[in-house]
Amino acid sequence: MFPYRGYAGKWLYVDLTAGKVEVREYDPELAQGYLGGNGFGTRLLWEHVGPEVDALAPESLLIFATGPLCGTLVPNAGRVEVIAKSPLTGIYGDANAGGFFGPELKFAGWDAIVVRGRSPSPVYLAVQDDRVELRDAGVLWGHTTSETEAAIRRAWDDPQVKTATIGPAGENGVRFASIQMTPQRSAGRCGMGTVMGSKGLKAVAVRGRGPIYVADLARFHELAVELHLRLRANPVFPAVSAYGTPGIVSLMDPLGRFPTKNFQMGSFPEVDKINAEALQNRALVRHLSCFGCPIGCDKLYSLPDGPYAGTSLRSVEYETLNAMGANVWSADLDAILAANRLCDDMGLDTISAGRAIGFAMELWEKEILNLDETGGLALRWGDVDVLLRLLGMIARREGFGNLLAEGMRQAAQVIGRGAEQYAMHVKGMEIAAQDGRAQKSMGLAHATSNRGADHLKAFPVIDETGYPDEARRRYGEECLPEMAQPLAIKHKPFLVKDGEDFGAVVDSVGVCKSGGTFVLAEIYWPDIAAAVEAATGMDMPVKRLKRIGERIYNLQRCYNAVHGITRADDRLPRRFTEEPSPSGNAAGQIVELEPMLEEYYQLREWDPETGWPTAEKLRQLGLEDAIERLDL
Amino acid sequence: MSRHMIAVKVRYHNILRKVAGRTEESIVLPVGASLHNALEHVGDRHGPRLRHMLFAPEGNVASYLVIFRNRTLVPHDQAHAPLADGDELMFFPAISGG
Repeated sequence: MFPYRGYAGKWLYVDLTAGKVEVREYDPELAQGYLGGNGFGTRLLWEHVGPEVDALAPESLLIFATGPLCGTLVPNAGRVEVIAKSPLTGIYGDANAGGFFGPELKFAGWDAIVVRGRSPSPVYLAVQDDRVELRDAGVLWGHTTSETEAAIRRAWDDPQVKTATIGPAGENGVRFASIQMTPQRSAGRCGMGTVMGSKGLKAVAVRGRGPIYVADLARFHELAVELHLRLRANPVFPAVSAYGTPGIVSLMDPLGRFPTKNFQMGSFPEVDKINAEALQNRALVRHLSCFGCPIGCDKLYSLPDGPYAGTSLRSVEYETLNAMGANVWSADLDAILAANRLCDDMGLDTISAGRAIGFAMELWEKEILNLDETGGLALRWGDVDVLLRLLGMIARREGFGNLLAEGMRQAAQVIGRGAEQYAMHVKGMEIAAQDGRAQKSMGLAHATSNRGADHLKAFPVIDETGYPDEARRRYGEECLPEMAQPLAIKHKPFLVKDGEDFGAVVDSVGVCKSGGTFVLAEIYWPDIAAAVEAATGMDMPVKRLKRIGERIYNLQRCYNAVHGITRADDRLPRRFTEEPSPSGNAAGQIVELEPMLEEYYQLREWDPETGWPTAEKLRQLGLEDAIERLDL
Repeated sequence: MSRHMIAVKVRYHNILRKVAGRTEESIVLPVGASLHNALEHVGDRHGPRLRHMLFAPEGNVASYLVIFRNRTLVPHDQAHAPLADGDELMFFPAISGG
């Protein structure tokens, strides 16, 4: 009998080579040491997918994992984590999605699904409470994510079925393919859809009707209500609720933090044509939300007329408005929405896809690429026909799209002739829509993140625009004013380390980083500790929770270390460290990476030479097996 | 413009735009007026809901307000520095997350 509430207490092991599904008991020690979600997947990856296993080999694992708060009453508890070795970076990979898939999996009675092997023919996994089986997906293969979801819903005659599907990009091995989850939420980064496609798994469909029990219902209910009320009282709540992440477009621009023309600039002269107000005036249908979310940053949009009339989609995010807009020098809002919908349908990460095209456009500008190499496509800035055409070519791996489908790092190496200096990636992952020159903590976060360039691991919102009240509340008066100043480097290594550890926990319990933990900066360590304690019945003082976050993050670093990652990989493209920003509040700024890295390693108690955790640190965290594996 | 007055352009963003009921406006202030004075001016003009979003209860500039003067971020402790004729101010709620 599994001793903790909040969990289903069991998970599914799916061997696609053998065509078998097994029920596995959740290990209580795994729950104590890693909570679930991100931690659960990290531990399994560490134990079972070593450097000898290619990310797309049958022996690789694809892990869908929820956490003990997922599906419960605490705010925004609708997140599910997908973990695998990344085919884009070759190191630790994960992606996280909102919507309703995660809670539905819990309602069906499962904490996680671990997929291994490769099916000889396309299949999908059908989970209807405790009835679980692999079904033929031959007729679904080749179809878009939305077509696949609709077909399964029709076949089940159940509007409440929740799916995780890949599109043609995942089937075709595009290295940044996404998994789309009901309703149009993306587990976008690191190529998790590529891993799914390599296994011949077209979809996972789930319907659950069971309860989730918590250990102390009265206390848990009290906490959940308190957190909901605090979120609603947060002064920034109305702004986030009204506009979602597109609401920051206009603000990032004068900060010089809105990447434009492949990070050549940090401001876009036509930003008013692609900001939240323009988006809502043009296409807003209604406000929506994910499971259990009082904020409702999600929206439904539809284009009423024009060349892409009828294009309808949810979840148009800041990232996509940038990647498909300013990044490629386009203020064509309709084309951005069309590109977004195309990526969702094809199962492409909008960030990596948009960045790859922006990179190619800069190579065209610099005359490094020519018509012979692009198959006759002139990659001019702002040409949205080229943008849309290239997205389709990437998804189908056609012509020049086939090269970009390998990811920016690999494409740059193949092209050569100096292309590498324009490839804006870290550890092989394309940099999202932040310019570290305009927010120094983000520069460090991009460099250190365990999954490659990434804003969401450390997610240092405190100094993004300046949250002095939260900085004071979280870190004390002595950290001000620098902690809340985007251009200061003082205290930022601590901000990044704390965010990485807290983020690892947030992604392990199953709540949303945009739902109060990072965005709004309302929910913090003590709140999650109290909720985990009330939900699970574990004794969870804040100190212990922090240790779990550190353990997860350190183990991911160890995973990368055995894959050859060292301090030399904690780098940024030269553009950020040597070319002063020309834009807005960041004009004249570079990222002073080295001094921040030095302090970061000290705070982490990592070896500053290798960038690896020390034996003493790993011993403190109970990671003795990593000491042995790293030969420390 | 009288030599005793300055004209300042104010641009509202996000939820502030909805509350102010406009995207932008030009306001006229006495020479020597500060950013704090500009905030008081528009707070008085557009009602208590906007004023509540611009100022903390004790009268300081609300910590959740992000202000740019001529596209440069203004620390709140510089809210009493004088503005110049032709300045452009931008007001945002302190949203983050991308």
